[in-house]
Amino acid sequence: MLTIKRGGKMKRFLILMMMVLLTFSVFTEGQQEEEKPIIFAIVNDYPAAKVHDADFEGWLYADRIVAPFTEATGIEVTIRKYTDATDNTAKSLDMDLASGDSSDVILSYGGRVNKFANADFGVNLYEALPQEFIDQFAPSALKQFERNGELFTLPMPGWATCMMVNVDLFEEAGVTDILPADDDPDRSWTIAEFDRAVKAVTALGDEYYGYYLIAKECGGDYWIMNMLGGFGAKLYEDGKVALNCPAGIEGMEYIHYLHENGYVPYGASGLFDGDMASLYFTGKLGTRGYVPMGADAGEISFKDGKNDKPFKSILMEYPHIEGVVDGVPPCYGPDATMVIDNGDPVRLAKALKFIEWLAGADSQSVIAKSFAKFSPLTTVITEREPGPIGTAKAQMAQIIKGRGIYDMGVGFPVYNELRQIWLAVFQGMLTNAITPKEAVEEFERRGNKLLSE
Amino acid sequence: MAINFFQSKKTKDYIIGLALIAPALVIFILFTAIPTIQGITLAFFKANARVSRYVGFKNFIYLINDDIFWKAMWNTIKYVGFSVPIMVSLPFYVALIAHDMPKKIQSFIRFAFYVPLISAGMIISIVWNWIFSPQYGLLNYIIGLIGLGPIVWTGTIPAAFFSVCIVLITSSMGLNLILYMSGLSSIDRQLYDAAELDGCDNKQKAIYITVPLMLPIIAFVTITQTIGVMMIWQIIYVLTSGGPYFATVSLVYQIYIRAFQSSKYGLAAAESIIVLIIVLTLALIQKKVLVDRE
Repeated sequence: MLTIKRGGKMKRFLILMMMVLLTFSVFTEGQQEEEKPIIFAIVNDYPAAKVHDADFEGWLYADRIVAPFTEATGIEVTIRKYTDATDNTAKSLDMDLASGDSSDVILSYGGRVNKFANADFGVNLYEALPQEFIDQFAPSALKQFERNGELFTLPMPGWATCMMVNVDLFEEAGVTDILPADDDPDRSWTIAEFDRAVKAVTALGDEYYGYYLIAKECGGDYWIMNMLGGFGAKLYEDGKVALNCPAGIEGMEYIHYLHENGYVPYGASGLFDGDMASLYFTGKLGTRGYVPMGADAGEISFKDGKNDKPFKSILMEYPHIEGVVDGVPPCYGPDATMVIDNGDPVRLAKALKFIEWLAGADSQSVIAKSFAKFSPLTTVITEREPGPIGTAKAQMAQIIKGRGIYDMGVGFPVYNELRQIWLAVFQGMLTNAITPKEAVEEFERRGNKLLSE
Repeated sequence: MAINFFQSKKTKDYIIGLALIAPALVIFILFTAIPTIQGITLAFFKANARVSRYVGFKNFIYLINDDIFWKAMWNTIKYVGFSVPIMVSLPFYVALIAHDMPKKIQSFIRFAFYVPLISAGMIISIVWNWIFSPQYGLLNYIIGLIGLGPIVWTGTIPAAFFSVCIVLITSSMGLNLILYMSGLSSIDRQLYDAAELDGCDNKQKAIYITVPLMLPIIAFVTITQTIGVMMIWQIIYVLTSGGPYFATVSLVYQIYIRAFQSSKYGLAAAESIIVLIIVLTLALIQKKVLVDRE
């Protein structure tokens, strides 16, 4: 017969353990739950608090958006900051959503957030938000994010792409007649003019190139899509890949021709955005894809090891086919925000109030100005600052107003996978593993398969 | 007579032993056993960050019909086939040469080859990315001095594969070299002396003494390096992102992309099971061939 001796050590140990567990549970579970603030998750907050707003000190989201909201409504908001990889890996967002303490509102690049834009995570904002609020958005911006007539995410200020031109190199190459005057609002040019300029600049010497291609990572696809847009090719239409058409094939063949004939540095599949930037800033590149945010408009200064040789850099649209296309809509990569339904109606109501504030005109103006992005709200006009950066941003805003935006498929839940497929087939074309036509066909096949899953 | 169970010596020893291994056991259960079981069950679900829906074998069927999965499989086999023989033999050769050198040089060689081991895999890959840079990389600078290149190391199809292999081989040299040098130190010198007296040259000594006595270490290195190469993903993630045109994509890299980029956890788990089966099979075969035959 088994017995536990009275007063034995094991008995005392067990009693002690029970007391410890009881005490622990009293201090954690036994307390009355206080009302927690709603949680606002920002992924990849760009440290731009001072870049474009010289009189602002501090952290933009905390001081210019959350604090005024709390003051106006009494609703407390806690900010959670995440950093994710440039390949749009969203594991931190996944972990946040899978945890028992998920955020209530998320803000990040559209390609990350739209992966969660469905009823598993969010609420239909067409039903949850006032119609007059929804009506502020440009219809084309909302259409990108719509799913079967429902809207789970709202577009926020985003990047828009264009081209930068080294005017000094164009002058040296004798092709400045192509360029418009600095204050001319028409920044368009044709493929024929672009081609002439690229050849002339490349002819300046072995170290000079007219244009640049990057295809080491999926981040270079904006520049490529803008070039294809100049041929009238669309990437997506009605929820399917639309690139497999004469315009798309012609655009790809032109890019292939630039690569094969040395007008761009060879081996684009191994080159980054940083490689392109460094060649441009050392004055050896005639044109490059660009997002007007930084100090690369106007007079660019650089040191070549011997002396300062500043050059003039101006903004242009991507070139277009004459007679077929009037101009090129800039590729647009919006951020997105959404409300997460955590099963608590009180928190949900607060989160919806916050998202109205966050995606409203006042907040979007602040965000757009600080991060040099362009707002999807028709009522928000990107502020113009003095100097060349302001000029570039104003010109960009005009281009968006006139041309609309090029749908990059940011609204698709499989956007990141589509980008990876695009990168692979584009690399296949550049390495001559497949022809431009085969590349487009393969992208259509793989892309539509993904989109139909 | 009542048996005082908790005060018997056997029970006390048992409880003390359990208490001593309890931390490691808890960690193993929490962070290895449970996730493994969960991973296996996840393979039969379509799962995102919040919701899981049972789909049976659909994930496995999807993978079998996915040409990128087979491409990754083939690339992984190529990585193993090309890299593992070099990873096994090259450090052995270096160890043989270093073994006859003075102690101070041996120490330096051990240190020099071991340094990459203490660095994180990602850091090594990032540094190699700079070395391989087509415009500013050290490698193209060096070959440029002798009139060659430039080569787009990670941006052209055959070169990208070999670039990944170069990083694989160089980053594994350290550990294998240390193992081999330790093994060589443990061989009784009298065997070599006796062989010399019998008229053996260096080659015969290596074939008939060194290699047979080093076989357990060679077997261990072969098995561990095979498993390690099958698990390759960090180098690919940094150097090539699986490109160009899927030329360097591997099975585990695909698992990472499916799980953390696409949030397709069920599919990633299914692919993980396939990799587990392959690795286990390979390891068992190698053990049978290299170890059990002794």
